[in-house]
Amino acid sequence: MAAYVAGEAGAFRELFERYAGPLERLLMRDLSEREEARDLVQQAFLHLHRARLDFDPAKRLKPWLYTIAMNLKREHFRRRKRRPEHPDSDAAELQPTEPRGQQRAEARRTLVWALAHIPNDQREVIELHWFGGLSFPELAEGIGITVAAAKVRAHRGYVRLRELLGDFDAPSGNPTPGGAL
Amino acid sequence: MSRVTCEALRDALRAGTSPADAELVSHAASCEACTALLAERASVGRALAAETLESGAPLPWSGLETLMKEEVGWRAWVRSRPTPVRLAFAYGAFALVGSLGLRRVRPDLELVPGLELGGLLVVFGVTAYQALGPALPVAGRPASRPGILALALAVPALAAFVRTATTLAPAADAATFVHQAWSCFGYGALLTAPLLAVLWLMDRGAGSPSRVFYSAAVAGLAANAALTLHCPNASSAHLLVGHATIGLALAAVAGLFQGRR
Repeated sequence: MAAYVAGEAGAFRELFERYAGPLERLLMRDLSEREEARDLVQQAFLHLHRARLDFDPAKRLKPWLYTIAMNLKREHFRRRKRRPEHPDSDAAELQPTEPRGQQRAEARRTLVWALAHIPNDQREVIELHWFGGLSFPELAEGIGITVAAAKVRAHRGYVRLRELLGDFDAPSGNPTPGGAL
Repeated sequence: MSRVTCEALRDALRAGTSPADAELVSHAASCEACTALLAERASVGRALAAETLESGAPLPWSGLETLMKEEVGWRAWVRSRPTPVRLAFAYGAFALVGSLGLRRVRPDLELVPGLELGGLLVVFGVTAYQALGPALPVAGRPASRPGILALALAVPALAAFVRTATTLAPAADAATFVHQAWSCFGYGALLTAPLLAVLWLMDRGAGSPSRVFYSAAVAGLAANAALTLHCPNASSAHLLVGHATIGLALAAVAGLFQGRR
């Protein structure tokens, strides 16, 4: 990013090629259409371009880019008024023929369903921390909360996920929803 | 021995391994989030680790390149300035509106109690700043939550506005009603124009519709505070038609602008 700000035009394309894919997968987790995720990725990079002179070389780019994208996603849902009830179209795309693959697809559907049923602020922290790979201090700065508050949200989110998922048997990939349900 | 952090623990779980027990116990004892992740044989951690999304075809660079090529012109230049520069633009607009408001003050202004006058000026400053709020945050950083401070000040501001406007000068006669209402509406709209122009210039496109409406309405409130220094008309009908409509009109314009973005 520093190279791009310094005038090296090709550097931005390199950033795009490095981060667009992972960012798209992060956004896909609760968007119903891949095209929506792709549009938001483009918008996030456009915002990054507009705000390039605000880049602080002492800080990492990834947390900044990811929080721009999460803010755009939040606005996207606000404009649409609500999140999809079951944002699992991507899971539905998986139609495995093998029993093992079918179990894994079912496990994924259950997890996506469970993630969709925890409060937005808790899901956002889990998404950025677990799937986005950000540290708690990075994501806390990005979404404008304290590190302690981020950890509290993560804790509550994980507890709620555990209730929703019940006893998840990872080796077999077979979740058994229970608990709060 | 490496120190276990939340991130090291997460990465280990994602990789299907786990750090040494002693390190785990030590870290988890002081971290509620990791405790929850590890509870019941790390059931949540394992469920999350098992979740993978397949990559689709790579997102083409050409789409973004097209969008970036459209980022030309003076507006693109202004909104890409560093935030301290954008702040300077905002404060410049604020100073311009303030100086315009003070150029044409009402003839009976000296009758307004000093405390009340000071309060109105403070309210004008706060509402002007709040109206510019959506333009100011750096992209990706959350904007300050709107409303709390402005609302806390809006109530006494409106009270002072009504009191000042209704207790001093006589009401206008019916014949000049339309002319005076239009004059005040135009003058108030003119006072807020620099604020809205800065808002439009600096907007990087991440503001929500509700935030834009909020800005427009608050800019209308700032205009009302400035109008109180200018207009001696105490007629309720005049205040309603000539003053209060400014915020509504600005919100409507903001809605049109938002819809076309």
